[in-house]
Amino acid sequence: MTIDDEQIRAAFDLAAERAAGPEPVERIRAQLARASARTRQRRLLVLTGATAGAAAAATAVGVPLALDRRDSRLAVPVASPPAKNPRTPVPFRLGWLPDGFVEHHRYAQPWGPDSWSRGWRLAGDVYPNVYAAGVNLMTRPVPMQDHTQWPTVTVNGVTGRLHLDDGQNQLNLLVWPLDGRLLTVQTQGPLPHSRELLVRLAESVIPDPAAAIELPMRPAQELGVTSASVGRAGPTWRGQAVYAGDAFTVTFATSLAGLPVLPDGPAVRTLPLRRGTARTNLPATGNARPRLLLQFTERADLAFSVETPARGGTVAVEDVVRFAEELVVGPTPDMSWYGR
Amino acid sequence: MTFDDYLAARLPALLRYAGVLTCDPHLAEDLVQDVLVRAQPRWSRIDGLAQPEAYLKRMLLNEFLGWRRRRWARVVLLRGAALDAVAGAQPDGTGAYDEREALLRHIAVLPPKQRAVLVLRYYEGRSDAEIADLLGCGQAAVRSNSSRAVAALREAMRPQPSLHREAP
Repeated sequence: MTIDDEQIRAAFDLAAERAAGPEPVERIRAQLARASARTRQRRLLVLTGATAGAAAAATAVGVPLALDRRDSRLAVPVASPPAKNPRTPVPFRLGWLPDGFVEHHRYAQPWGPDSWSRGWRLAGDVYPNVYAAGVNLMTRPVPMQDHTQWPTVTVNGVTGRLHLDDGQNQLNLLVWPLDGRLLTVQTQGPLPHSRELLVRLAESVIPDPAAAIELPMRPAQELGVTSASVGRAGPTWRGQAVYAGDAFTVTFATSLAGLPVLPDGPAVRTLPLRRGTARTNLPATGNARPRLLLQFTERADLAFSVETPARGGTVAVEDVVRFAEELVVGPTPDMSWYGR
Repeated sequence: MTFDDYLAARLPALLRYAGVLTCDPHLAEDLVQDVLVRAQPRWSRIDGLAQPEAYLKRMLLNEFLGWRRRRWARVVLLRGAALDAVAGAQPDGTGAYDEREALLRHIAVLPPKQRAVLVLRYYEGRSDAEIADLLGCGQAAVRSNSSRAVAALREAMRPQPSLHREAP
């Protein structure tokens, strides 16, 4: 067979397409948030130690290192099902949008009321197409002083800062304070790079106190939520939440459309569970992988992956079975906002 | 632009580039994570460059070439849809998919420098001079690596004689 340039490009396109799903994007962002938090913690402890003297400094440096070396196995507490899904508010929305735009994703990282994002796209767009025309409203994690190099604009009588795209990133931002917090309205893709559009969007922002992101499932183990998102996936929606502890990072995914089923093959094993069966990407000859995926046979809409934050770590089949059996599934989240 | 804004807009593009270099979504994720963890504390300086993304891509390329030398012995290539992410790519049901899949499998076992040359030439569309600059070698070496890589792929994709004979 002859190989031409187009075939090589097509093979590369396949590799590129496989690498850029929403899960790796969110895992990397979660990992970067953890790395940033660890750096801040170390700086704080080192500073504390410096003021308290050399002995205290040695202790301060030792604490985070000791934390990193804690026993990698988790205790397995039995949790009772929650009465309600965990939720975090997304308390503002755009009151005006360009024609044809509907809300199609909500995102929180880190999980909590001060770090959220809502996105609107043209009906039919699939998340996370970063090149599509889009409008986002989000909290701003850095102070306004960080944007003094940007020109000022007035939003409902308040001074904000504007950044129009320089042609590289197709991203325009307007940052302004509202009700004691800093908000950002962002346009991307082939929308006009115009001050007027951003100001009009920003001035339309109104409170939306009932809006939230709900997580329909969580692990029984005491893992903290690091990020969550709900967005369009194909013809319907898909939700994802990342929980992380010292030993494991668990990513849950759920979708009304059903998730891709792990295909039959030597690299897939069926696992008996107390509440049915599941399939996992663990070959019959192995017992550990850097990351294990699991999909419930009877609930094709529920799947999760378990991995270890430590580089080079592995997840054993017992770990993934334990997460599967202790999974707490709550009521179907309110998705009435989706597509409106 | 803050680091978070940049990630929101361009992280998928970095993953795609790393995916092409590594031919494996899991390794791509590791590669991007390694580079971004190092870039994050230096972001204010990187963001001040004329082309931050070009700088990050160069970091990815250098990390890939050095990282493979250090880690390749203990990294097992994970292949197939079973090891895709939870909602990873699914077969598109056409013959073209199988052909791309097969070609990708052969690209994945090319020597790292040959693969890097192919990526820069066919995925990034760079000239021989640019590739030579990025890889720190001469243009003749670029052409040599490229022609060897393509020849190896042609050989690998050549139809093999069937092992089965029809019954008389």
